[in-house]
Amino acid sequence: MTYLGGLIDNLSLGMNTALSLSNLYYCFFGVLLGTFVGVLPGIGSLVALSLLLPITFHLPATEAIVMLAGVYYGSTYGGSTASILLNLPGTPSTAVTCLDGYPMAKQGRAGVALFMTTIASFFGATVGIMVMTLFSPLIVTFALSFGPAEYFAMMVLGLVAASSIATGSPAKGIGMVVLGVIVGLIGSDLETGQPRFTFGVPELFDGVPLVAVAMGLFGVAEVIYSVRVVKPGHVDSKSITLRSMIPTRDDVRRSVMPLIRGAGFGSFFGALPGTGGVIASFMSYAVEKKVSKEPERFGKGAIEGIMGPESANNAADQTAFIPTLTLGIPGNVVMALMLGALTIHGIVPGPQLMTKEPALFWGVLMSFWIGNLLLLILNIPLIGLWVRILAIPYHWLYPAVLMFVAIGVYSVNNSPVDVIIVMVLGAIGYGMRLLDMQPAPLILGFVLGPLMEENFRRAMLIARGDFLVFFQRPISGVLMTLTFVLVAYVIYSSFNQSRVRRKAAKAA
Amino acid sequence: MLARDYQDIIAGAIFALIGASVAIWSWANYPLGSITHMGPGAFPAGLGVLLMFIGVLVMLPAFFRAGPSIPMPDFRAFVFVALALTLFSFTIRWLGLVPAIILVVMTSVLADSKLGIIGSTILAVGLSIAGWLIFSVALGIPLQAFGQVWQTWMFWQ
Repeated sequence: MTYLGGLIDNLSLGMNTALSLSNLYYCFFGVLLGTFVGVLPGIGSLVALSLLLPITFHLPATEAIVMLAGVYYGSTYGGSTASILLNLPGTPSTAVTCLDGYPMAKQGRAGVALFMTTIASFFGATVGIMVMTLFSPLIVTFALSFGPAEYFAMMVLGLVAASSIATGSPAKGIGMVVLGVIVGLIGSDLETGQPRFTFGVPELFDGVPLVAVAMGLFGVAEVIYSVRVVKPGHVDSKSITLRSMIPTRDDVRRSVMPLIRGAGFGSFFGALPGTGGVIASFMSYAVEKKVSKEPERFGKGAIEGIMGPESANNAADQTAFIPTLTLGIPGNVVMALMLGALTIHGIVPGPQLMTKEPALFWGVLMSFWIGNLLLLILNIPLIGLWVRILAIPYHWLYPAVLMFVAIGVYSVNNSPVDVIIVMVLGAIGYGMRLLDMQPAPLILGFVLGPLMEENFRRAMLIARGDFLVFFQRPISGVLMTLTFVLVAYVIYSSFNQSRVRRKAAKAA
Repeated sequence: MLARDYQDIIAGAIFALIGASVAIWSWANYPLGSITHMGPGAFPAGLGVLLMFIGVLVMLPAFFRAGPSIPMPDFRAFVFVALALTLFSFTIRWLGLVPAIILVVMTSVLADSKLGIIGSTILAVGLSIAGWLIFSVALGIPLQAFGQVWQTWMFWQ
């Protein structure tokens, strides 16, 4: 009973926080911007979040997270619009929506598809929020007993999973993580104060700023890469009217079960590190096709094929916050940026966050709900506006991105040198891009690096230098075993891949 | 066997090189400490060795398979984007926010020839007003719309 009673108190505290005027304002701004960048081809939520990071310096912590989160889940709503109308996913997790959403649009049912995906997104998000509300306090109680060994094991598993599952080349992904951890160690050593890898540059004593790394790798490198690649879409905006959005009785009947199953997949995979919306939506699509009595309809405009994945990816967006806010372990790169924003405000992420900053935790959680309600309003009556935005060509957009990069970086320390640093990081990022070295795992490693070192050293101190401590304690033992299984798989696949490719080369 | 995955060979070599340098540098310059009381050098040295191994793991199989060719770098996009940011860095103090934004926009549009002179001008004016409104007015960040040069000039008038 105390669990429920406490929950109700917390929820009302959260509601009060989320309904404050400034939180409402930043929530609205976040979801609006999120939908905008989700719809626009060429600018994703990562670019937008990187651009907003310096702005969060000038905001209170709760407002900052409310806004960043709004951009994140808002972009998933917007992403499905681009998937349906252009056959181009606005964000990676809406890629599956293209498969049946675009055929629906070609059959003149774009309105129905847009309406129903918005409903699916809202439903998925609501389930995700409820899962988060119910499970977060339990996880926190559990996590309070974690020692440094458990934390270290969890971070290792999270990083290995995030870099090896979602990326094309697992070994390279893990390499980028390790590189990120090393870059994260630049600056003064936490225990002894010894400067490391600073090469006498005093600006590096506090470490490489997250803002510079994120903006360089996601802002500048992305612009250079996309300038002559991204093509705008052409959509007949007149064909999408409110009347055309009304689904048939058959559509509704077919949608109910995919919605529920999708929300389940999304809630589960969202909370696991390394998986998230992309995998959840793919899983949901595969399952819907499997259980369907008429699998041949899939790929030709089956409404089940958009409802399941859209419910799944939005549920995953919400539950991805569970490990981030309860344990301080980000499961993907967006969550790493959130964690970075919290750290900028001097808030230590981890299980103590919920007890030390209840207004922030529950306020952010309740703001998800408000944000999703706002998105429902933004995406149904205002859909005509977003359809027009789809057609904005990239050459009008990238100078604006560069302007935000320049001013944003400069405004953090009023330092012109920082702009140059970002430019150099952007150049490095572009080079890595050409070699297909993904920046996302690097950022994850970068954010977690210092925490990992701290916990590793503490674990060694407590265990008197016995490496087996990571395997003897039950929780960390399970986590480390999982990590080893993953690593073995990575090594196996990196050799196997070469065999497969060689066969393909021979055949060709 | 000419077919090789050059992308992964170079990427692996970069990993191995960085890993080796980090390991050697931290071993040579920072105290390693003991295993119970790890010094500042221990963790990075370990990571360096790990990265070196990963580099080899990425690189070795790549010698024995065909891979995608490395895309040609887009030098024009790179040069103008870099130039735009450099110009901003050098002018934000003495010219101020509005001229610096105009320079960023007018330079970066050259990365891609799709936007003509009229379009660029409209974008530059629009973005400089938007930038000033967002950062100076709405967020209250102390940025001068027009910098020191203009104030000195006004003073002498």
